[in-house]
Amino acid sequence: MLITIETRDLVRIFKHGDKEFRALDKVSIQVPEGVIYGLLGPNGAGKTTLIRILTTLLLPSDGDAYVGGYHVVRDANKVRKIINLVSGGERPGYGILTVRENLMYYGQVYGLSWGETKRRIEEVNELLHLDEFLDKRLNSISTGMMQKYALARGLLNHPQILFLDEPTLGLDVQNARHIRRVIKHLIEDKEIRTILLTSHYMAEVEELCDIVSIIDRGRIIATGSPDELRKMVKDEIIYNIDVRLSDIDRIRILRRFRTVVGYTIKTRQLTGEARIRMILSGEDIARIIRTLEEENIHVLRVTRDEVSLEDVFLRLVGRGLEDEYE
Amino acid sequence: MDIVRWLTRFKAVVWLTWKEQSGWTKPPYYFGYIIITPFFQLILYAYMYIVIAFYSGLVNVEMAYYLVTGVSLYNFIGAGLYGLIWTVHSEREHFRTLKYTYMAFPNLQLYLLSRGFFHYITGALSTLVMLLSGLILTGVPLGTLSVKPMLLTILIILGFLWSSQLGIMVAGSSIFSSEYGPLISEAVGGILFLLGAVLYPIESLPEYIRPFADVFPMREWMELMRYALNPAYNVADPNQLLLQLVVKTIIYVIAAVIFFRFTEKLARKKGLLEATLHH
Repeated sequence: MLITIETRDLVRIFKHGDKEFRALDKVSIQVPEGVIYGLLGPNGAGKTTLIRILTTLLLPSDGDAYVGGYHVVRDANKVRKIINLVSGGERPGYGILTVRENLMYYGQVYGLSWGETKRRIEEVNELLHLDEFLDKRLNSISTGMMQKYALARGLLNHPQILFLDEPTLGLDVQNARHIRRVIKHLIEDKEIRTILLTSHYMAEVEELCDIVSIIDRGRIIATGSPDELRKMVKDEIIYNIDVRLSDIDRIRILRRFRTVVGYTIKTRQLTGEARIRMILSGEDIARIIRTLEEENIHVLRVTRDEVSLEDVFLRLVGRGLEDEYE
Repeated sequence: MDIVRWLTRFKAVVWLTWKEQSGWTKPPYYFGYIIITPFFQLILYAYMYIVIAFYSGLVNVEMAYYLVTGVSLYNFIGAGLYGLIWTVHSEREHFRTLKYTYMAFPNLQLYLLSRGFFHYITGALSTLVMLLSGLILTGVPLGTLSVKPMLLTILIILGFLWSSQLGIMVAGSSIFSSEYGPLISEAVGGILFLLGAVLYPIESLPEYIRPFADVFPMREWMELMRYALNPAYNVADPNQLLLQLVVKTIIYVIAAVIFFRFTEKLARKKGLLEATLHH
C-alpha cells in the first residue's frame, strides 16, 4: 500500500501576543493512494490548518509532513507541482473575466500551453457541466456555479493529489449532491490518485470517504473506515427524541442519567421543534421519558436510530459536531 | 521545454494585468486614459515653471529640461513600482487569489515581476508622451537634443531592473500589512520623488539627507537618462555614474532575492499568504 500523504507528530502553534493557540497537536496520519480520505471535525478543530500545511501555504511549528513523497517544507515546489486545492465558501478569482477566461489564465499559469488549456477546459466541462455559465463574468455567477468553477480550476493541472477543504460549504442540496458525485467519479475513474477532504458535514464524509479521521481541538482522536468507526459505539443505543423548542432549556436534566453517554440538539425553527439525539449505554429510555414528562417537557416522538459518524464523534468527544466550543 | 512554459506563464500574467487595468474599456480608451492622466500632471508642473519664468523674467531652458525630464521619467519608475507592489494587496485582499497563484506559479517573485511588467510598459508610454509634450510646452528646442540610443536602452533595462527589485522588496514587506500595503508603495514612491533628483539636484538637499539619497540608484539613473537624451546636459562623469548605477542595480537584485525569500518564508510561518481583512 503506497502512502501518498503522511504527517508525523505535526504541531502548529499560533501566537497572538502572549497567548498561544495549539491548532494542531502531534497529528499523525497516513493516507494511502487511491482513496478519499476524510477529516471530520467541528469548526476550529484544525482541519483547514492541516490542509494549509500540506498545501505548503503554512509552515508547521514542529513535526514532518510529506505529500507524494516530498517534504512540505524542504520540497515545497515539488509538492505544488502535483497537488491542487479547492476551498469551499470562498469567491476567489478575477471578477471581470469570464469563467472561461479565468480557467484559461490558470491553465497557462499551471504551465499548460494555450491549446492544452483549451482542451483541458473541455474535459472538465464535460465532467462538471459548466456550459451555462462558462462565458459569464465570474462576478455574476451563483455560489453553486462558483464552487463548480473552483473545482474546475482545481482539476486543470491534472493533480495527483487533490485537497478539498469543505467543498460543499454553503451549497444547496442539489449542487452539493452534484459536487459529491463528481468527487466520487474522480477517484473511481482514477482521474485523481488521492483526495483529502475536510468537512463538518457528517453525511458527506460517510458518503464519500474510504477512511476517516476524526479531529478535535487539533488532535486526531480516531481513524478508520466509516464502518470501523461506527463499531466504536456498538455497545450503545441511539435514540432521537423530538420535543417542543420552548422546552429545550430544561433538557440539561439529561445529564443526571449515568446511562446518557452524550446528546446533541438540533433545532427546527420552522416546525418549532427540537431533536435530541442521545447515546445511551443501557436500555434506560422509559425512565428518561418519564423524567422528562415529570419536568413538563412535552415529548413529541421517540425513535431508535442507526449509529452515524456524528454519534462516534459525540461518544469520543462528549459533544456534537455542530456544537460550539464552550 | 521549460522556457516555453515560462513564456506562456509570462504572457498569461501580462494579459491578466492588461484586463485588470483596462477593466471594461476598449484599448483606445484605456491608452487615451494612461496618456491623458500624466499629461495633466505635467501641465501642472509646466504651468508652475511658466509662472515663475514670467514673473521673474528668467527663462531658463536648462531648468525646464531638468523639470520636464524629471517628472516624465519618474512616471516610468513610479508606475512600474506601484503596479508591482499593489499586486500583493489586490491578489490577497480583493481577488482572494494569492494562495492559488502561490501554488500555481513556480516562483512568486517572478510572478510579481511579470505582473509589474505591464505597468512598466504603460509607464514608458506615458513617459514618452509627457517628455515630448513637456519639452514643447516649456520651450526647450527639440532640435538641440541628440539621443544616445545605446545608452538609453541600457538605462531603460537598468531602470526596470533596480526599480522592480526595489518593488519586490517592498512587496515582500507589504505581505505583513493588509491595510497599509498600498500606502507603503506610495511612501516609497514619494521618497524616490524627493530624493531621486526629480525636481531638484541632490546637492540642494540638506547635507544630512544626502546619504539617504545615495541608498537609491534613482539619482544616477535620472542624471544619466537626462544625459542620454541630451549629451549637452552637464554631468560630471557619466562613466563613473554608470558604474555606480550598475553596482547598485546588482546589489538590489541580490538583496531582493535574499529579502523576498526571507519574507516569503516568514509569511508562510505566520500564515499570511491568505490572510484577509474580509472587506
